[in-house]
Amino acid sequence: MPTLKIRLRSALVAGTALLALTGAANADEQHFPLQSYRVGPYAAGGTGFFGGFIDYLNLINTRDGGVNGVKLTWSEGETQYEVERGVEVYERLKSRPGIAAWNPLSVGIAYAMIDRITKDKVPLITINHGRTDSTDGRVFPYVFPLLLNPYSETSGIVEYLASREGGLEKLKGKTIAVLFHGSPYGKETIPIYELLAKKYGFKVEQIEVPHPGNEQQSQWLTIRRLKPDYVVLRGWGVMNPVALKTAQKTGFPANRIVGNVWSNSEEDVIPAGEAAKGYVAITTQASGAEYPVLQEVTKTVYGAGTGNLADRKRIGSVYHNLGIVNGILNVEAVRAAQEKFGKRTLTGDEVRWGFEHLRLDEARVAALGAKGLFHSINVTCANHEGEGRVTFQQWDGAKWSVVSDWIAPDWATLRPIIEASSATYAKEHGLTPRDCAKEEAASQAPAVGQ
Amino acid sequence: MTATPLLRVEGLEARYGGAVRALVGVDLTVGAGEIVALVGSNGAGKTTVLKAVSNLLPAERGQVTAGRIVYDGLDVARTPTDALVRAGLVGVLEGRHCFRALSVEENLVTGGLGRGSGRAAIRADLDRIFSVFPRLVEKRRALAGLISGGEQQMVAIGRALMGRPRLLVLDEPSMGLAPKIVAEIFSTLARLNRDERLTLLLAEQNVTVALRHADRAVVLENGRSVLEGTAAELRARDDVRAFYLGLGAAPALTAA
Amino acid sequence: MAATSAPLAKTVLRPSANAVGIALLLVLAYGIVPLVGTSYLYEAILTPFLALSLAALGLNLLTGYAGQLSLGSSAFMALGAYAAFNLSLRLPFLPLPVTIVLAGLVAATAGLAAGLPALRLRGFYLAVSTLAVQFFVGWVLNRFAWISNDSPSGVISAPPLVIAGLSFEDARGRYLFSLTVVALLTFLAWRLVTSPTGRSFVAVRDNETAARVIGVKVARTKLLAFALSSFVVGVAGVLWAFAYLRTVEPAGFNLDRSFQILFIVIIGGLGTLRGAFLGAGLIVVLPLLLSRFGAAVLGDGFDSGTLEMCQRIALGTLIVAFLIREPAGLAALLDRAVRCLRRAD
Repeated sequence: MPTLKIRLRSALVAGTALLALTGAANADEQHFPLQSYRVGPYAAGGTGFFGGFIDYLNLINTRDGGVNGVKLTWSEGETQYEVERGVEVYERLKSRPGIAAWNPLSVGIAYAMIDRITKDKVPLITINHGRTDSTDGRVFPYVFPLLLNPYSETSGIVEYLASREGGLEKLKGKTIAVLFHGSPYGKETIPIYELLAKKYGFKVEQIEVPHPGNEQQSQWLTIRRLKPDYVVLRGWGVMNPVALKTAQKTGFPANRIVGNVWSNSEEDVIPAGEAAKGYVAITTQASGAEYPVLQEVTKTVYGAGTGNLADRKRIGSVYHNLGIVNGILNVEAVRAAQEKFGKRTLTGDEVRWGFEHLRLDEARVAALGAKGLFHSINVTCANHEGEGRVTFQQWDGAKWSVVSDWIAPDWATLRPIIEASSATYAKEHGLTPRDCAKEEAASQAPAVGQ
Repeated sequence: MTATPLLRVEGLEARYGGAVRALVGVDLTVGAGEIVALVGSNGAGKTTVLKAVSNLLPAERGQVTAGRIVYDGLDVARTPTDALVRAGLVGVLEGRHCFRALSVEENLVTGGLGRGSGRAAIRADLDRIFSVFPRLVEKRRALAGLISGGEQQMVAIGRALMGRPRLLVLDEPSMGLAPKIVAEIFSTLARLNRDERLTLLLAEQNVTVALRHADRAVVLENGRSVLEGTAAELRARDDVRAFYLGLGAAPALTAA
Repeated sequence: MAATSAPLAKTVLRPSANAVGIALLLVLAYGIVPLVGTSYLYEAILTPFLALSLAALGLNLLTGYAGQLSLGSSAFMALGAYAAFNLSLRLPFLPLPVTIVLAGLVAATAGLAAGLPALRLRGFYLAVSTLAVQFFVGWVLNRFAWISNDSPSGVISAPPLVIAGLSFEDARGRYLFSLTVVALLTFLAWRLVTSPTGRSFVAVRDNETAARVIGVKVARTKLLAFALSSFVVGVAGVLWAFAYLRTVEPAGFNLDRSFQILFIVIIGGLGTLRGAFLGAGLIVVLPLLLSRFGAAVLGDGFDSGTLEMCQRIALGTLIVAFLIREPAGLAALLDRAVRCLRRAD
C-alpha cells in the first residue's frame, strides 16, 4: 500500500502544481470534453473517431499555437457507448471552464443531452448522425447534426443510384431492396424511401433484419426472388459483414450493394473478406491519408510521438478521417465565433453562434488542406446540418477508394418533413421556434467583442 | 359413527401426470368427532388420499379420475383449497413444511390468513395455540427454520389450528420424531378431539401409535382400501398385525 | 437513501433503533444533501441511484418476498416510462402524480398478464417465460410507432416535471422529486411486507403447497405479487426516464438492465427492503468511485480503455468477495456490523 499512497500523493502534488501553473499563465483556452468509448462493442469506431478528433486538436496546438493563440484542451470520460455513462461524464465534465462543444458520436447519449445542453447553453455536435429533426435550428438551437442526417443520407444514396443508371428519370421501373437493422435507427428511413420511390417511380422493398443480424439466410433468399437492381444496406455492427457474406452465397454481386454511414467502415468489410470486394458505401469524408491535412497530422503529431491512434496503420481510416473532419468543423466554428466575439475563451453560447455561421466553401476547405476529404459546409440558424455533400467509396479488398462525385441530397424535398417533425417536438415540449431572420438582423448589429 | 359423516370418500381413483395410477379404489368415511387413521405401507397411497381430500392434487399435476369426495356437503373436487379451509377442512402436510424465513409466531399467524381472521381473532387464536403447545411460547420469535423437528411439527399443527378447523387432516405426524415427542403430540391431538370435538383424519406408518389413539382405521394397499374397522378390531386381527406390525406369518387378506 | 427495516429481521434491530436510523437518513436526504450537493451528485449519482433502488425494491417484492424469479424487470420499466410519456402527451390535463400512478397501473396490468405463467411454471421455467415478456415488450415498442408519438427514431424525450405549478426542473428538484417518490413507495412497500399479504408472499415463497394447505390463495397471491412488483418497477421506469435521462429509447431497457436490477437484488439481499438500496449503492456508486480513484492515481493521461478494464476487474472481484463473505447480501452484512457495534458498546 505505501507505494500506492506515495503515488496518490505525488499525483495530487502534480495536479496542484499543474493548476497553479495554468492559473499563473492564465492563458486563454477552449475546452472539448470527450465522451469517448474505447472499450466495449463499439470501441473500433470510438478509438478511430476520438483519435482523429484529438489528433486534429493536437495539430492546431502544435502547428498554430491554438486558434488565434487560444489553446485547445480536452478531457476524456469513458462511456462504453452507454447512455448512463455518457450522462455521468457530461455531469462530471460540464463544469470545466471554457467548454466549446460536446461531440458524443452516439445517438443515445446525444438524445439524453439535448435538454441538458440546451439549459447549459453549449452546442451538441452529432456529425453524420443524430436526430433528423434537430436539423431545424429554430427548434433545436444547440444541436448540430453536421454534414448529414438520416434523411439526407437516404436521398444521397438514391441520387447516387440514379447517377449510376444515368439520371433520376432512369430510376423508373427499377427495384431497390433496403435491408435494414431491426431497431429504431434501422426503421427511421422507411418513410423516406417510400416517398422517394413514389417521386421517382422506382419500386422499393424494405426488409428487416432482426438485431443483431448474424443470420440473414431468409432475407437474402427473398432478395434473390425479388431480383432487385440494388440492395441498400442500412446495417449495424455484425449485420454488415454477415450481409456481404450471405449476398455472396446467394449470388448477389457486391458492387450492387450500397451501404449507409453505419456500414461504411473498415470494420464492416474486413470480416467479410473476399465477399466485400466491390461493395460500395456512402461517406461524407473520403478515406485515405493522402490529403494534406492528414499528411500534416502524420508528420507533426505522429512524428512527435503524440498521435492518439495506437496503430499508425489506422491513420486515414473511415472513422479516423471522420474525427479529423469533426475537428476541422469544431475548430472553424470556434474561429468564426472569435471573429465576432474576440480572440479569447468563448462561452458555449458564443461557439453556438460560430457553428451557426460555419461556412466553408471549397476554396476554404482546400486552404485547410482537406480538398477531396470533404466537400463544403454551410450552416445557418435554420439549417444546422449545413448542406453536406456525400460521396461513395468502393472497397477493393484492402482499402476504400472514391468512385463518385460529391453528390448533393435533395434537401428541398426533405425539409418539409423535417419541419413537421420538429414542430411535433416543439409542441410536445411547449417550445416556440426561434425567429431566425430577426436574430440574424440583431447579430448584424455592432459586435459585443473586445 | 354418526348418521351423516363429515367426510365421505367413494370409489376414489387418481393419477399423476395422466399416466401413473396412484389410487384405484378408495372408500372411507369420517364421522364428526372421530379420529380415523389411514394405515398402509410406504407407497400405498395414503398421502395421495389426503391430498385429494384437500383438493391439492391439481397443483401437483395430479387429478382425480373417478369417484367423489364430499366434505360437509361440498364436492371437494370443485372446491378450491382455500374455500375448503374456510369451511373448516385444514391439512398438515407430511414433513412439517414450516415457512423457514418466518418466525414461529408469524408462521402461526399465516394460518389465520386463509380464514380471513381479524386482528383480535388472530390474537385470541394465538393465545389458544400457545396454551395447546406451551413449548412454543419461548420460541415465538425464533425463525421456524432454526427450531427442532418436534417443535416444527407443533408449529405446523398449530398453524393449521389457527384456521379453526372442524376436520384436521394430518399426514405422518410422527415421521422422524423421537417417541417421546410423538407421544406428546398424539396426546395433545387426542385431548383436542376429546375437549373440542375436533375431527381427525391421519395417515400413519407407525400403526401401533395410530391404532392406540384412533377410533377407526382404514387399511390401504396398492392404492386400494382393503380393510376397515374399529381400531380395537384391527389391533386384534392377526393378519393386520402380520402385515403392519410385523408379527407372525401373513395369511391371505379378506376385505372387510 | 431511505433504507428501511426488514420486517423479518426484528430480532436484529430494535424498532426504535430502526426508526432513529430512518429518521436520520431522511434528515440527511431532505435536509442536508440539498444544501451541500452539487449538480454532479444529483444528476450522475443520486437520481440514477434512487431510480435503480426503486426498481430493485419492486423486483425484490416479487423475487425476494414472493419467490418468483423474473428476468423481465426492465420491460416493466419501459412500460412505465412509455405509458407516462403517452399519458402526459395525450392527456396533458392530468396532474403529474396521477400520470405516474396510471403509468404504474399500466405496468401492473402487464405484470398481471406476465404472472399468468407463474401459476403453472416455477424456477428457471418461469424465468424463461419472463424473458419472453422482456423481448415481447421490446418488440412492441419497436413495432408500433404510435407509442413513441411517431418519432422517426423511436426515441422519446420526457416532458417537464411540474406539479401544481411547482417546477422540479433543475438537478436538485429532480433529485427531491425522485426522493419523495421513492420514500413514499418504500413506506408503502414496508407496510405491504409487514401485512398479512406480505406474509402470504413469504409463505408462497417458502413452501407453496404448505401455503395452499392452510388456505392461502396461491394463484391470487402470485398474481398480486407480479402486479404490485410491476407497479413499483414501472414507476421506477418513469423516474429513470423523466427525472434521470429525460429521454427513452427502447434499447435503453434491454436485458442487460434486467440483469443489473436482478444483481442489485441478489447483492443487496433477497427479501429485505434495505437490500435494494444497498445493492443499488454498490452497483451505481462503486464504479464511479473506482473510476475517480483510478483517474486520481494514474492521472488523466492514462489510456481510458485500460483504466476501464481495470475497473471492471476490480468491481467484479469486489462483488465476488462480498458474496463469498456474505451470501445473504449486503443487508445481512450490515446487520452483522450493527450487531458487532452493539456488542462493543
